[in-house]
Amino acid sequence: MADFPSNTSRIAVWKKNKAVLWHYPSPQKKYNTPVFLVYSLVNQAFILDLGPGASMIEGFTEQGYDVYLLDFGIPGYEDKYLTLDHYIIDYIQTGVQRALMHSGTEAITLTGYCLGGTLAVIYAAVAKEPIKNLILFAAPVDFSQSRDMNNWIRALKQGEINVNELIDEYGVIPAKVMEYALKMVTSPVSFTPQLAKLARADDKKYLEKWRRFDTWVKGHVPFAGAALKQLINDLVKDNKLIKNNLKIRGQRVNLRKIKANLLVVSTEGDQLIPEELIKPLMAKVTSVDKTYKRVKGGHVTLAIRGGIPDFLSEWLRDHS
Amino acid sequence: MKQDQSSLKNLMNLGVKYEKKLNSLIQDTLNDKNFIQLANAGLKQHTRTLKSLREFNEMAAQQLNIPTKDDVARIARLAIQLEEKLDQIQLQLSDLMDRKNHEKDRGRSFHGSRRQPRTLIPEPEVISDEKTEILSDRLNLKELLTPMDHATFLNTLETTLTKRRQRRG
Repeated sequence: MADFPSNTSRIAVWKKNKAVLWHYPSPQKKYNTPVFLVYSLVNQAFILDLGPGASMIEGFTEQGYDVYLLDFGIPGYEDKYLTLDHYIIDYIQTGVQRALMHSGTEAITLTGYCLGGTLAVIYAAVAKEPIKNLILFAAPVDFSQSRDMNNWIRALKQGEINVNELIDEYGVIPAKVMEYALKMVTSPVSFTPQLAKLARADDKKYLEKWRRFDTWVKGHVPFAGAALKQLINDLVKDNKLIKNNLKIRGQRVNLRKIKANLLVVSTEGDQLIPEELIKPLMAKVTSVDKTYKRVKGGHVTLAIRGGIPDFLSEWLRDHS
Repeated sequence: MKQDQSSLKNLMNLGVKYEKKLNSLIQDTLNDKNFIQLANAGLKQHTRTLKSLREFNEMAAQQLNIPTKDDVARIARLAIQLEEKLDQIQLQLSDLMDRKNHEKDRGRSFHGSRRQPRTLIPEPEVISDEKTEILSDRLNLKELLTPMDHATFLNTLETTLTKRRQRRG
């Protein structure tokens, strides 16, 4: 985790390997359905609780929701065999079961961010547990179109590039490799954050937030090799998720089985996950109550703005 | 002061503009088919180097009689498997206690009780003096269910078992 403590008070209710299921109790609980957060496998989850006034988790608890956060932790070399199947069934499904048991409630609001959103979608399609609402922030599901680095994707799909052997040799992809690979896709050169810091050098509160955010930006985590191979081959190359061809522990992931109330959010300035990777999910699920929301901001703007945005607050209030 | 702020704003605007241009230029170069071919060849060479290094490392480790990274990872995986087994035991115990409490509640109240939020490790019950030893055992066993490192876990387990063995003579 980061070199600064959690902003919102929390307790660990379950641990598995490096993963921890955190419970953030609401100081004035108003709603019975807790929010269960699934974060990405690429970065650290503390972005959701960055600091006072810059925490989405704090926003949920202040509005009366109990929050459970599944933090996957930082994988080591011994975790190289972890596949998406492990993450979906052994971590997310068991985590949801533990959250239901701990809270004593009948259902949860499952919320996924970025790749955590993709994992949440896969889990929602195979879940036996009651999921009342499904909320997704910048979750890629359809990899048929890609604006950036399209020649790389094409070469990968046509088999001109095969990274399986390289991933096997590494076992676990080092955090720095993940950082540089993602930087190449989004912003290879980045000096404007330094200029923004210079422009507000006399604002201590801003500088503290900037420092925390910078720690997060540079705090990528290693990626389990087996899961990365599955992600590249099954999701990106063969686009199995949106085609309902993906199998998780022998069970077919059929998106039509998703019946929970659905809220999908994408941001206009997201360089990493553009709208075309997110929106196609809307037509694939059988949820009667489904909303697609496009808002201003970048990939993590909503998580660090502080509190939860009005549209989310209203949607959750009506569905919890 | 105003002039400084204006200069800073201009610098910011220029920064944003040139960062965008520079990034587009780099990304176009990276996305070029010739570059991809070159990078692919580089990746293949890198894979071969990694493979040779690993094989050499394994061979040297065998001769020097020292563990490799994979050996250490295997030990770590054993610990993870043990943790998983404990987790399953914890769940089964919790389920059993839940059933026991449910049966108790059914006996007490005709209408049964409402589900309440609870922790996975229930609070110890208050029982009579003659059952103190069993309670102590039970408390020790419950201690095992709280998150702890493996050394503490093994110590607590051993203490509990020794006490039981001593009592049974």
